[in-house]
Amino acid sequence: MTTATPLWEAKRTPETKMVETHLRSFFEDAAAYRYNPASIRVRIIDSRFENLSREKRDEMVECHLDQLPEETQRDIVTLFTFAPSELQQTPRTLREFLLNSEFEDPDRPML
Amino acid sequence: MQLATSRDFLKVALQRLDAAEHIMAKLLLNLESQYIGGYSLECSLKALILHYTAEMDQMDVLKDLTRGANNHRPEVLLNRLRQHGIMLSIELAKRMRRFDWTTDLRYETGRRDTGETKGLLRTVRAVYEWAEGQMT
Repeated sequence: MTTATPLWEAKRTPETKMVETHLRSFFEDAAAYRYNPASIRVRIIDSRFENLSREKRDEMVECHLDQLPEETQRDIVTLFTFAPSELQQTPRTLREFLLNSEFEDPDRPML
Repeated sequence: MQLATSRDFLKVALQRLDAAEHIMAKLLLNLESQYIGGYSLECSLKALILHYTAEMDQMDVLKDLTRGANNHRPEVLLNRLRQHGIMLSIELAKRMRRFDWTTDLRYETGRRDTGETKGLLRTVRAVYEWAEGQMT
């Protein structure tokens, strides 16, 4: 049985793979793709995010994003941070479900 | 009222921002404050797009900007600005990373974190002031 490749994976570029490699040195999982010429989306999953506010999570990530080339930093305008428990098959909150859906399906229409 | 110019969009942006700040400060309804505040940022970016659009194209761009759900996405609007050679500063890009507003907020109930809401409103105001500065 073959598994369908997620839509976002087709949008990965050498630049976004460099972002992933860099962030995977610090976090359990990191994925990135270019959404459009002005935007790179980054998703980080790490158990240390459990029970942390969005602000605290961002603080943990920003210092590592600061080490990327300036042009890349400027294009990272969307950052999703999840604890593994927030991405379980039955999500705990609608918010996490919707945000992860946004990352997983870049062509998802907004209603 | 029918929106017509970049200045009209900027006025809408300021009105939504003022409302969002009031809802937060006086009513302490942080989810609703975020929901209203997000539209302010959308309108600031749309004001800038119209500002940089050639006069002869403005009507077509206006029609396009006010239709289609995709035009609620800040990333889509930022891409249109990029086509005009306009980019966020790194500081604004950092703020945008924390701006996870979508129209999906209308499906949420309950409350959101107060610090997060204040941060979102600071981002909305920073983008409004950036747009206003670009237009003067």
